[in-house]
Amino acid sequence: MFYLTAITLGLALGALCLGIFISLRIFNFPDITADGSYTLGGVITAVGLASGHSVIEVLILSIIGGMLAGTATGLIHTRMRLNSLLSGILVMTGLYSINLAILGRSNVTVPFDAASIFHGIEIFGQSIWNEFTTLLLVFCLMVGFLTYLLKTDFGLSMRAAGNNPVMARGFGVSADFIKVIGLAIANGFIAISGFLVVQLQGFADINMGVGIVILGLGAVIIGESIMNIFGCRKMWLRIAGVVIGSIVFRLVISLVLSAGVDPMWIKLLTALVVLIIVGLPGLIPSINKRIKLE
Amino acid sequence: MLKIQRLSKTFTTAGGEQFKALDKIDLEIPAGSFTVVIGGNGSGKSTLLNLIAGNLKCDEGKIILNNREIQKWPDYKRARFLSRIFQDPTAGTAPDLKIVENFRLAAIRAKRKGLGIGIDREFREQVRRALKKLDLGLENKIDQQVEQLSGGQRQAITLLMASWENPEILLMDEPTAALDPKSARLVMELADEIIRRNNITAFLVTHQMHEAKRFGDRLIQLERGKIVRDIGSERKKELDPLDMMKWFQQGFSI
Repeated sequence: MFYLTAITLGLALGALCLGIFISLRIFNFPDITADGSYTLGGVITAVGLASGHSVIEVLILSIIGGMLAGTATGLIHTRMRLNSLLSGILVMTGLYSINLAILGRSNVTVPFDAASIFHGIEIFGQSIWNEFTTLLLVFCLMVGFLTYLLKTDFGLSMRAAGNNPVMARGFGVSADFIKVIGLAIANGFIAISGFLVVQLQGFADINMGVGIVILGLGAVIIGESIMNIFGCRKMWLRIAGVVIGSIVFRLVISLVLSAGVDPMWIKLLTALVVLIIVGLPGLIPSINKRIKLE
Repeated sequence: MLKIQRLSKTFTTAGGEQFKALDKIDLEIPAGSFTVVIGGNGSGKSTLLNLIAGNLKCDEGKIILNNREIQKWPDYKRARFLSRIFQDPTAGTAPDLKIVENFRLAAIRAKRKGLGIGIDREFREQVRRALKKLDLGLENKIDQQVEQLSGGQRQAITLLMASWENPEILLMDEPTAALDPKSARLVMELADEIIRRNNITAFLVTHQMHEAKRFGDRLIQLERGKIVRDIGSERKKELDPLDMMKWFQQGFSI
């Protein structure tokens, strides 16, 4: 049960990790907007559901909100030529006020009788199993969607633009334009995570996104490492691996918490875990051969 | 027909000095001709190619292709009718994408990048057939990432991709400089064949005098941003690479 809670949260955060995968792995863009767009998805969902809107309406609004945030970061980066970190920090900081304005106060609880995506499937007696099943479906949908998208002509252009921008432009791809679209899609995914987590936990908090980008980063790298160890190179496995990385990350954190560590230390521990995963291969070259990281 | 009129480009060095890379160049290139450009370091040959491709913007002058003024177009827009091959064999392909995925990008260079999957059985067969002609054994590796290929293989693929959808103009900036002699010969002979067969207007920048003599039907020498020699097809055949070396003070090989 304890592990199932962690796995469920890991699945809900999987969308965030897919978003980070798009910005970081396809565009080499460490996109800090995530902290704000995740919260944005969350606050739209909490306020929307509390005021009686349907799940679909709230989902669409969350995605639009996230995509607008990503577009803003993309435009600042490509038009004004600010570097990627600064562009993301600017939008994230601005979003804090917007999120607070939507929320009206520092946190909002979703009423028990409000609509919820988790009311759709009620086949098991225990709600956690229903939530798990729902999220598993969402997981399949998202992995399927992203795999398809990356295989289309548009997706190929996106991957080429991130991989070799000069070459992509040489084949008629406007690398700047497609980067903006890519960041919009990435932050749309990230907002979906906010949407899911708020319904899972029953509340939105203005600080729910603090440091979330690190979690996504860690999950992407854990997922890639797992897939590399098993030699999986297929696109859908790489994408599914990112969500699996998210689950593994949550399980590790749950284990640490269950060992009696004060939750106060969670962010520090998260940062340390990511540091170890990212930094260790650089210190020990033999690991680097096995797990290809940049 | 490509017309270049009073094309100029000046760079400012870190020390604030002005450096005229290209100084009011005039050039008329008939469609289907193959022009070889030679010149010492800093003579302006790469600048000329970069201006035609749109990687650089000119300070003044015009570039007119078939009555369209294109000097203000961004590079990705010119890519609809213009292909480029760089000296660096890794520059023309996306390393993390499969061979077949790279070819797909080449196939849609002038088209909308839509939300359909373009790599179907027929397309894969097309790519296999094209690769078979190279005789490098790549036809069975179309699902391999380009990263795993050698420089010569990547340059050959770049060339095939560049000519996949017949471009109007093909720009080659020392395409063989980073290759071993055998790959260099393969790439140049393939390029020549593709250019002749499809009647492509081509530019070749080279430091190799034997290449400059053997390929193309016109030879242009740039020095300090100006055209100092312009030799037509007939006279070009009579040139001796050893004599051509004397046109330069230093830094050239036969």
